[in-house]
Amino acid sequence: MYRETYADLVRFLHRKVWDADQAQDLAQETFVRALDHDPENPRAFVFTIAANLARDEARAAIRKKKHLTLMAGGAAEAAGASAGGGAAEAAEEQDRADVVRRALEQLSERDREVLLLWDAGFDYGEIARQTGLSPGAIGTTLARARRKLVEAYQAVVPEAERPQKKQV
Amino acid sequence: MSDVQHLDDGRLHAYLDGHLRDGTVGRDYVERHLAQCAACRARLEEERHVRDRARAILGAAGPVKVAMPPFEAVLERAERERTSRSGIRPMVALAWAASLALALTVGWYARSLVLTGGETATVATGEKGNQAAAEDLRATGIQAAPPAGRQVAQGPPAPPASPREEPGQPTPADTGAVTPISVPAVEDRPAANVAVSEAKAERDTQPAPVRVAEAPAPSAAAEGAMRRAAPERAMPPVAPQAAAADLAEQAWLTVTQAEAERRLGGPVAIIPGLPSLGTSIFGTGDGAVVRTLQVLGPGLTIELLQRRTAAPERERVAAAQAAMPQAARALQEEPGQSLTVQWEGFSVTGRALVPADSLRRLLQSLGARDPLR
Repeated sequence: MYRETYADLVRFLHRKVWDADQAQDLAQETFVRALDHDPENPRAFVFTIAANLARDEARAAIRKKKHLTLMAGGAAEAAGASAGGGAAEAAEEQDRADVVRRALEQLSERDREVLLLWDAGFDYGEIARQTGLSPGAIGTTLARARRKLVEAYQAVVPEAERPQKKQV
Repeated sequence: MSDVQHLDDGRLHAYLDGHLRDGTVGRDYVERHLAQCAACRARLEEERHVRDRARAILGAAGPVKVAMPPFEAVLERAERERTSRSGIRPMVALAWAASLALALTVGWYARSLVLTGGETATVATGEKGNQAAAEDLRATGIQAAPPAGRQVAQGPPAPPASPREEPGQPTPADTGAVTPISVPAVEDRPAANVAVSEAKAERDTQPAPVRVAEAPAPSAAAEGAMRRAAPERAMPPVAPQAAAADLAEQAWLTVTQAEAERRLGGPVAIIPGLPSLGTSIFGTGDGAVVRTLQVLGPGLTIELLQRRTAAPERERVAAAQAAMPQAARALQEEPGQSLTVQWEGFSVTGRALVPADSLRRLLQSLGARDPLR
């Protein structure tokens, strides 16, 4: 279960905390907390824990949001200074992530959650259980969330940098 | 085909995601409809594009590769956290217990002070007949008292004596004038830990002026002393030696509010509604400085220093020289806002660890001692 879920969980957490190291740390913490339990659906269970951890983390980070942003910028710079060739790649990845982050921030919390669970490989039934929405509402919510994400992304990405295939 | 019958976005996305299972009414219905409706087929393609686009966008958000630590790392971390948690929790519990105990003690102490204040007021009312005579004698006392201060330091150290006698017992202060004792105190205020006998001028009219100057200490001893304050006043008057008169002018003396008022020759400023931790006085008459400590909240006090505004220049300077270094020392130990207001012919300086506007509001509400208490 750990092997199957870990990467998805880090990915899921990364889209919530936007920091690779922190996402890894929270993923580890999630499994630590899940150890004491024997849930019916382990995968859903660890994602629930992860979502809660990320939410706590986000609340704690709100006050030092600016500080964190500065630190992330500093980290990117530091990586650029030390890694040489790999730096440009890392910076590019960071930029891409920032754009997606800004686009995701345009979504409502519920839409974002449903979208991220879908991205983590959950099926409609699991998403419904996880979010408390009715199974019948997941398709509608996902349709809205996907469309909004695409639109927000188009709005965020500068026109010149947009690859050709991004026209919907 | 009317619009109402077209497939909605939710159903199209569910179909795209494969969540309308084979054989279900939903999937069959969607496929039948798509076969007949070109508009919905076009929309299906559009929605497919949206879905793929969303997937690609989310995929661009990294991390590109995730290095998965071995599961043993998780187990180790769990073990570490379990250990540190079991180490921290008893400490947290102890800290909670300690703060609860402290809160209860302080509360009980403050309550006893409030009760004592009430008794004091009652006794003071009974003494009003003597007040005029006392005033005269006090005036005599001031004249008889040598002006100032180094005699304290020069005087021979007196043997320590217990300042807290049971009512009815003879007072050791009969023999010793000044008795430096150390009272267990939270704040070690320079002049506060001295027990001083009363001035000669007051010995005939004012019973039992022996007081222990106490810094606010939530100790059982202090509490006991405060509760005995009222009975003590009914004791036979002590007969301090002449030197005591000088000393009374040279140190902070913890007194009742009634006594402070008598010595100050005017009302003692307090903030109504706040429990008092005690009043002390430095000097007598126009040059006297009265210090009152009141409780604002847990661990938060306000200190009021009250002086006559219109004191004759000579006395005011003398008082400032004698009292203020000590008062200033005491104040320096407590950071916080300081503000002076004029009240009933006195200047009252308040000091507390509160915002300036709160302090101003508190000082605006200054009042005299509640006569009913």
